[in-house]
Amino acid sequence: MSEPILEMTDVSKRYRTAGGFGRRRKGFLAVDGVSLHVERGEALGLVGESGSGKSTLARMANGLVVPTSGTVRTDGQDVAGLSRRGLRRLRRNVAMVFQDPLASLNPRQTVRQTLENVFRAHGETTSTAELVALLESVGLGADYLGRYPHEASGGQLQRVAVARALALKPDLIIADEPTSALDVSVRAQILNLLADLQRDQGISFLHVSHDLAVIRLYSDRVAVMQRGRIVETGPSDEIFRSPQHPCTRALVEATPEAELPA
Amino acid sequence: MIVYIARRMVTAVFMLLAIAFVTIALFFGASKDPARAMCGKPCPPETRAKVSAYMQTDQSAVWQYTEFVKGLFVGRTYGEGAQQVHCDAPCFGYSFPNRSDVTTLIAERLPVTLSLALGAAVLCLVVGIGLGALSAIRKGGIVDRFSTGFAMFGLSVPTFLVGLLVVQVFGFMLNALPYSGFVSFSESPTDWAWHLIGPWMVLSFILAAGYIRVTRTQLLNELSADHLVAMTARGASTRQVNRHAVRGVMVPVAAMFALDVTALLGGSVIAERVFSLHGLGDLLLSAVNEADLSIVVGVTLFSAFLIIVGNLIADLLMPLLDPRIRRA
Repeated sequence: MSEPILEMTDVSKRYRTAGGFGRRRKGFLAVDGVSLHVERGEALGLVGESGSGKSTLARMANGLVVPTSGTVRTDGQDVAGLSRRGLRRLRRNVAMVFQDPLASLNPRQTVRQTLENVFRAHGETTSTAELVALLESVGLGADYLGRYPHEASGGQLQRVAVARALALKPDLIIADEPTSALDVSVRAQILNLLADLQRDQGISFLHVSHDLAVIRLYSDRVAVMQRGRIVETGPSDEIFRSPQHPCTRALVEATPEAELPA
Repeated sequence: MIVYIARRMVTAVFMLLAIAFVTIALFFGASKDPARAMCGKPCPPETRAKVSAYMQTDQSAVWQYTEFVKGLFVGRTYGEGAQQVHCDAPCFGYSFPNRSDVTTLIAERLPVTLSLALGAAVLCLVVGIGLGALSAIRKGGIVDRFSTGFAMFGLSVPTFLVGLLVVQVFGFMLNALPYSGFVSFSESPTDWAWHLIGPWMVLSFILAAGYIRVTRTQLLNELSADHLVAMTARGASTRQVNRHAVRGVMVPVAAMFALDVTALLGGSVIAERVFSLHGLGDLLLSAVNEADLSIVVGVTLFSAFLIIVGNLIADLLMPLLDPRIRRA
């Protein structure tokens, strides 16, 4: 079996907190000795309540957050050992989709400029045909190229954000709560889109969410986080059927009974 | 675009006419009599009436206004015979105390005020944006602490106090800078700058404070903005990201600068007083004291014109900086 696309070993992240008079700066341990891996072509769901450290953990995969200790190997490279240029090259291959599409797209740039920026960042040029094909792969028409973010809906914008991630064909996409800012009605569409990309293009996913129902349907495996630690991992169905840890049980119970449209 | 500019220009003309009317009406509401100031110390009522008729200040405000507007197109003639004075076609009025038409007076004083305002504008933009950007980049650092305090001080201290302090410290105590006088640029550029350093410092000290604040907050917002994190996450270099951040900062700075044209003109009135520079502000102040209506109206209109043009330029610049405005 080939090397995992992402492998984290015993990583921790301590954030500095503001000190006060006579108070010791203890810091806040957001991630506490976590190990996890994502196989090539796999979708790993990372669930946990808010503040459990899942976003911090996800952002260590592409070097946006530097771990206090432990090693992160992404795409066969030790992220800590990468130069600036090396990091940029890594990010060509590891893309990210953020929670709020309206915030994560530059309000002063058209969709075309946003997409072109990805190519430009890596010294590549692109053609209109290529950009149109990119938009079509996320289910948007060519007319979106000339639009500004405020001229499209949340679901459409998140598709643009996915298109930005897909430009230059990445191997791993980190999706940080990609649907929690969206209306329920378009959530399923975006999730289906991501699932199709995993299946058809063999892209690996690290899918962060607080919603176990979402994770269950679109991830092969699930890791449950609580207070900076992973408390339970396993195949999605198994976790859902027989949750072992109390935290997982609470998340499962919080999930509505009705099935999401697949 | 051209239609837009044309429409703005037409609006501006009407606005200026309205401003002229308000100025004249306000002036006539005041109790000062222009003829009184002109006719000298022993001033018998007959002489005073004669002077008043000669200067045409015996007429009503409405009459003054229509004469003023007419004068803009066909010129204006005061008095008769040997005492007759004529003011050519775009006539903004005639100043009897100065024995000159207002247009000439403004043109004479303009280089001083322009030197003062332009230099101060450049200085406050450079200092304001520079310090603001540096403090945003190293938030909580020494530069940040210094410039935040500096901005607080600048916003709360009145211009004349800063002016007097600069004159006192640099002019008298250190003897480092001239504390009055003006040398024209064509005469000697170095002397020109040398004489203006003090006034520039005073004017830009107050104005830079605003730019420090706006640049700092706006850049901090931009640098932590999701869309720039997203750019970084997709592999953009720091330089590419910074370029986008700077664009986001330029819009509010440009908007603020348009409003500050007013502050520059207003501040220069005080700075001119403190440094005994004979610019437009000084002209206006003495005209108010001498009840010289023509100059008051002329300078007010000219300042209003500059402000309107400044705002127009800012409005035209805005869509270039932020394409969203272009669509709206």
